[in-house]
Amino acid sequence: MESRELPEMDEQMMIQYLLGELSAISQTHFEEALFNDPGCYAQLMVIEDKLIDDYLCGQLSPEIRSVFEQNFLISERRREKLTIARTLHKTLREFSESQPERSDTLNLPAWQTVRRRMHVFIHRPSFVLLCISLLSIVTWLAVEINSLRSRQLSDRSEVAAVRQVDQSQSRDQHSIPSSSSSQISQPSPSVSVSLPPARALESSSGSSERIRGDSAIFTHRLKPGRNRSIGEPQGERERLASFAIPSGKRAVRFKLELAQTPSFAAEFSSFRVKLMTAGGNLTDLPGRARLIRSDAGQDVVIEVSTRLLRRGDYVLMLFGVSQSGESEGINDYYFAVLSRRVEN
Amino acid sequence: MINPLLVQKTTVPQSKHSNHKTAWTLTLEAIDKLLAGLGDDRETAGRAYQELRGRLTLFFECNRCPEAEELADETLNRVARKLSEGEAIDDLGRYALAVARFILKEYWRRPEKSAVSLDDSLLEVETTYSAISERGRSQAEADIRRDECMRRCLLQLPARQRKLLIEYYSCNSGSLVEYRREMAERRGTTPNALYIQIHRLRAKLVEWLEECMKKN
Repeated sequence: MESRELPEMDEQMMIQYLLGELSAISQTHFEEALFNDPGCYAQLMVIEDKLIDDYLCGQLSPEIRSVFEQNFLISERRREKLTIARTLHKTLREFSESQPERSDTLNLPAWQTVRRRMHVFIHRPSFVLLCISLLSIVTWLAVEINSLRSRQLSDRSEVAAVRQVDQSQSRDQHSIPSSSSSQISQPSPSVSVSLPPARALESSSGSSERIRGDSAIFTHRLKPGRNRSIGEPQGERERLASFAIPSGKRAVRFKLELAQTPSFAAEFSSFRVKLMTAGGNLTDLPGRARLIRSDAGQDVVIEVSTRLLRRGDYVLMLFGVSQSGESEGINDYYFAVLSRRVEN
Repeated sequence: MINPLLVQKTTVPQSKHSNHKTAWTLTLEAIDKLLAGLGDDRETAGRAYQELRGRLTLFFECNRCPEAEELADETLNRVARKLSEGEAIDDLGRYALAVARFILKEYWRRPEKSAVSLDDSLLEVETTYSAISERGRSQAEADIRRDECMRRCLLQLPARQRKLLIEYYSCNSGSLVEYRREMAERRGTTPNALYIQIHRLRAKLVEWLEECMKKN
C-alpha cells in the first residue's frame, strides 16, 4: 500500500482496521476512538475511498489485495461502493479521452496540447460542418473585399475627376465675377459620383466623398435649392444633384450646406429633416441631424437609409428646432437617385 | 433532515435478527427521543443519526459481519428503545458502541449463521440456477443505467470539479501517491486536503447517482 499522507500510524491503523487486521486490543481502542472522536469517522471514510481507488488502480500488493477481497468486500454496502467507484473510474477515463480536460495534457507543451485537442475534434461531424461554414464565409469575404477594392479605386478616380472640375470652376469663378446670392437659390447642378469620370466632368458643384473607415456609407453634399419644383419637366433633371447609389451601401450621408450665416444656425438647438418623394410622401428621418463646420461654412449632416431611396426625385426638407420646441423650415435640398448599382 | 420514513424502513429488517429480548417495535416517540439525544434541531440530529449509523455499519463490517447495515439498525433500535424507556444516556456514541458489541456477540452466537440444512442448500442451488439468467439480465440493465447516470452526474458537476476528478483519477501507471502529492503541490494544497476534497465530490456524486438511478 502506498498511502502515507496522514500520520503514518493513524493511517496505517485505519487501513488495518478497515481490512479487519488489527489485533483485538488495538481494535477495541480504535473503536472507542471511532465513536468518540468526531474526526475519526470522517477520516476513515476518506481512507476507505482511497483504499477502493488503490484496489481499482492496482496499487495494492497481492497479499493486501487478497485481504481486501476477502475481508473488506464483506458487506453489500462496500461492494456497492466498489461498483460505483469502478463506474466512476470508467466514466472519468472516457471523459478524459473525449474531452480536452485530460490531466496528462497539463504538463505538455502548448502545441502538443492543441494537437491532441484538435485530434479529438476533427473526427466529429459538427467540426467538419463548422470548417465548411468557415471556409464559405472566408471565401465570401475575400470576394467581397476584392470587389470593394476595385470599387474604391474606381471611386477615387471619380473623386479626383470631380476635384479637377471643382478646381477648374473655382478658377473660372475667380476670373468671372459671380452674381452671388442669386446663384445660391438656383437648383444645384447635378453630380454623379458613380458615373464614369467623363460624365462627372460634365457635372458640377455637388461633391461626393467616402468617409474613411465606413465603407457602407455613401456621402453626398447638397446645396439648397428652393426654386426647383419636383413637377418640372424631365429636362430639368440635369439640373438636380443626382447620383447612383453604389451597391453594398447601407446609407447615404447627406451634407446639407447651410447658405445662411453661422449665427443663423446658432438660433436652433437642433435640426430635423424630412424626406419627401416625388409622389409627395413625407418621411421623418429618424437619425439625428448634426451641425458641422465645413470649408464652405456650415453643414447639417443626416444619414438616410438606402432602403428609403429608390430611383426617383426627392427633397430633403431641413427644419431648425428652437429652444422652445418650435420648428422652422430652413432649406430644401433636391436630388435625384439615378439608380442603384448592382454588384457584378 | 432525517426522514422518519427512512428510519422506519431501515428498522424493518431488524426483526430478522431480533430475539425475544429485542422483540419491540420502534415507535415515533422513540425516534423523537433518539433524535433529541443526537442534536438540538432536526437537521443536526438527522445528520448525527446518519453518522452514527455509518459508524455502527463500519463497526460491524470491520468485525466481518456481512449484514452490517441491518445490525447497525438493530443497534439504533435498541438505543431508541432504552431512551423511550427513560434511560438517561449521557454519551450516545459510547452507549451505542456498547450495545453494538452486545449485538455482535449475539450475532456470532446465532446458530443459523453457520448451520444450513441440506434441503435449504439444494433449494438455494435450484433457485440460483433458475434465476441466474434473469438476475444477469437485470444486472446488465442496472450497469447500463448506472453508467448513463454517472455520465449525467459528472456533467452536472462544474467543469473545474470535473477536471479535478479526471486529474485525480488518472492512475494509469506509476506511483499513485507520488502522482497525487505532485497534484496537491500543483494546486497549492496538501495531499490530505486533496483526498478530503475528492471524497466530498464523490459523496455528492453518489448522492446524485442514487437519485438518478431511482428516477430511471
